[in-house]
Amino acid sequence: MDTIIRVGGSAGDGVASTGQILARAFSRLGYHVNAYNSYQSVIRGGHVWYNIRVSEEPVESIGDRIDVLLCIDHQTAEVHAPLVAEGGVVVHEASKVDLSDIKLPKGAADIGITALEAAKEIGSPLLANVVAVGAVAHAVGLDPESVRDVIQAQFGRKGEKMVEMNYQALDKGYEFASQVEPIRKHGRVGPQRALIPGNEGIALGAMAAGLTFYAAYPMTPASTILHYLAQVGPDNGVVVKQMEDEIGVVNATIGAAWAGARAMCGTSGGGLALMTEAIGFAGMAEVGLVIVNSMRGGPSTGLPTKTEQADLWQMLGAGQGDYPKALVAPQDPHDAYLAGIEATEIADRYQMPVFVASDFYLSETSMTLDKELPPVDAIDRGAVVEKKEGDFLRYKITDTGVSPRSIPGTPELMFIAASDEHDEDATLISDVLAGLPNSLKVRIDQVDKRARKLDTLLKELPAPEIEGETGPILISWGSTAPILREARRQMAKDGVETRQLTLRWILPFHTDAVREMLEGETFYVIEASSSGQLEDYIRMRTGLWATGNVRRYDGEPFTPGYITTHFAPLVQEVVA
Amino acid sequence: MAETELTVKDLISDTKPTWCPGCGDFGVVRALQTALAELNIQPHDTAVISGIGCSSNLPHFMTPYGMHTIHGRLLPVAMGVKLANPELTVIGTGGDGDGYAIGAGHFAHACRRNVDMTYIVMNNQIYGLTTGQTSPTSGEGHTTKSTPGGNIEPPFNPIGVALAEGATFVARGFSGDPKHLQALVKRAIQHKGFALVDVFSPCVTFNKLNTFKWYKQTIYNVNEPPKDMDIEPHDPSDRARGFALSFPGQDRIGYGVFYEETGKLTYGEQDPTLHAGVNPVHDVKPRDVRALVEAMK
Repeated sequence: MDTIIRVGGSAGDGVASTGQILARAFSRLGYHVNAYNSYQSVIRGGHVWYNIRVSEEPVESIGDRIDVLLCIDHQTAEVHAPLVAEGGVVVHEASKVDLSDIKLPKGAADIGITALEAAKEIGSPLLANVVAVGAVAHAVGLDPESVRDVIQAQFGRKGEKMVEMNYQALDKGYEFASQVEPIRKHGRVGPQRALIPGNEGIALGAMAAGLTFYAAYPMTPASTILHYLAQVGPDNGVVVKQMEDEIGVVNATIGAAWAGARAMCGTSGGGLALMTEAIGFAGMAEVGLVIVNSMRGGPSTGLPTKTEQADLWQMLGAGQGDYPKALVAPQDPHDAYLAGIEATEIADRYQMPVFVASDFYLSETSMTLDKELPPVDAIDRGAVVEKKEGDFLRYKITDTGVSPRSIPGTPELMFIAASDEHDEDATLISDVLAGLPNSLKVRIDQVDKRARKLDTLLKELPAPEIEGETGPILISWGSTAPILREARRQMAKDGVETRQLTLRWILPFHTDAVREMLEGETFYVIEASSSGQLEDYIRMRTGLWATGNVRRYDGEPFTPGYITTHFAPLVQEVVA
Repeated sequence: MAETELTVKDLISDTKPTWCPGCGDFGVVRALQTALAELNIQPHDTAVISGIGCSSNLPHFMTPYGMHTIHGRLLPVAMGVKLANPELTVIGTGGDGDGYAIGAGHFAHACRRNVDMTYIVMNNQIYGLTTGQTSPTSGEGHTTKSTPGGNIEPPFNPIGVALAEGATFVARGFSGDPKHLQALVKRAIQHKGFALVDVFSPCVTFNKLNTFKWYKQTIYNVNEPPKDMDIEPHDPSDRARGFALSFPGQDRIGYGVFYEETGKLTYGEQDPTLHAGVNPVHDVKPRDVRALVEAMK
């Protein structure tokens, strides 16, 4: 049984902090939680909301209804009241919200609170959110102790008086709501769970895998990696640098990686556009770095705080010319942690750029972990020469495509890493030798050598697997996958059996395996892109046309209801 | 292996310079090789990072580790190298187009950041490799392929910008005064913090205006001004006067040391991770993140 709480108001109303207290109360009781922060690109004003879905089972999406709605302003009531479920509860700040013209669903209870006034009486208007938390906590059947526990954890450092005032505010909220029957009881169901957004998952994975350098320029929705690493980096061996722009970011990361650090940078589509020339340089000079691209609504400034999955072509096409790069798309924070490890490790071992594709929804939605994060036991830095034996050829032609490198500082193994085409010993062929008979071969050999990295890497990556037994195959990537999983379960209850394929490694791509899976099958592509970039990519790789698709590009994350609603007519078409 | 005293020869690679005969950049690479040899900084402990342009081919003509990066980006790359391994001596080498046009944004921030590195700009006031267009340091009226009617923009003032942005060593040399240039580069490498050495390094093929002869007639040593100018020798601790001298005066352009500030903490010395003794290259190891996960409960 799941419960969904939504808090809405204006930017500056403390919507997120209100939501976070509630989300944490549940995760500390052992519930699975999905806490989605829908905000605007403004600091004050503009409609924002925070959605918390909790369950004893893993939570795979934000859901499609609201059980308890907290309206800090009137607009929240107008926009979200239609989603309140039968028997749900609407809590509203009576000084700002008038529910008389709002139609509430059947059996919905309504609690008016004067949180602001109560907070001022207790001693600070800032406590209004905690009053509201109390009212919601009562309505949702949370024990006051479990909320007090979060307050203690959050405000304990600020002193006893601060905690005491928060407790008073909380009690006041419970009191406001006392005449309403809680919709259900939420008590302890297991040990405390960590509540981790996707960005922190990537950062934790990279750190586990020995990350020592991170650079970024502030850009939503990648900024929280910068914030998190700036906070924990110094104690965990990571140099963190905010640069003057994304061009500086990627080049500093390349410099650090070439010097021998494990290096990562993060951005969103606009920043990635600035980085692309240098990413090609890393491809040519064979420098391994990780680039996290957290996608938001594009093009251009687009929808800064809304989600989309439409940077696929930009990542695939980053930089001029042909060169190998890898691209992995994790689907939830646990998977983001794993992708952080894999990307860090592969970039270093294969000496090439590796993208981790996230999106606003995955990057900033806090989710609990269903299982432990596996530790990294040892670091494999790949082919590194430590002592000179014979001629050192930095760009030696190898079967794997990977040439043993030296770490600057090592005697007798000096070389120049160039953005120009070069011979095995790093001598340029670009300026005076290009076009000469021997250089034609050098050029081809070097291009082919670099390209072989992806063939070698593909062999160590597991091929994707189809989930489910029968029915059409629904394909997605990244954060859409768990939502699709829940949608499929709902459809199965209605008698529509489907299967699911998640494309995690986009580059290198298991072309043969995927073609074999899809050949002769009915398949649909579910993605947050208006043009259907993933669908095009699948066709490009396999030569197979999708039967249909569900696309979302209004900026909001997929929900199971969105998928089932849009998929139902497609299935009927096929049946007809 | 025991590290013996270096000679200039140890710094010269097998790759023959591709510059035109008579190019000013020969003097710059020699000055750098001499300075490193005199300071006995081993080639394997040195990273020479360049951008794109004729002058940016320089790392290939030397034996240290090096990166020949992309146009305008050598400064962030060099900074990344230095922060990743503070044990390396990091030297950036590029041209005026690379550093003051496409890379000007990085230049301003590198100056204020005070990363411990040396940045040598071979300033020939023209785009050479692309066969002679106007550069950010081309003078007003300069007729080039891209300004056939004469350049209508005033030139970029790298010395003034570096001073305004807080660089702690700001100097200018001249390829035609090799002794002075060698001493300058040596002093820049020894300087703790960000050191700019702008070097007038004439392009003998595409700049028929700013020639060796022209420079010899036009420039003067600010630290040892000629008697006929009737000005006081410049004291490099005087930043305000250094700024004033960064502009042409009496139709002459100054070179020498405009500013030197010792004792200012470098970026690396203040970075909390590096300050704690971490070396991001040597300290790549698995991290136990369980406590961090615990903190998110």
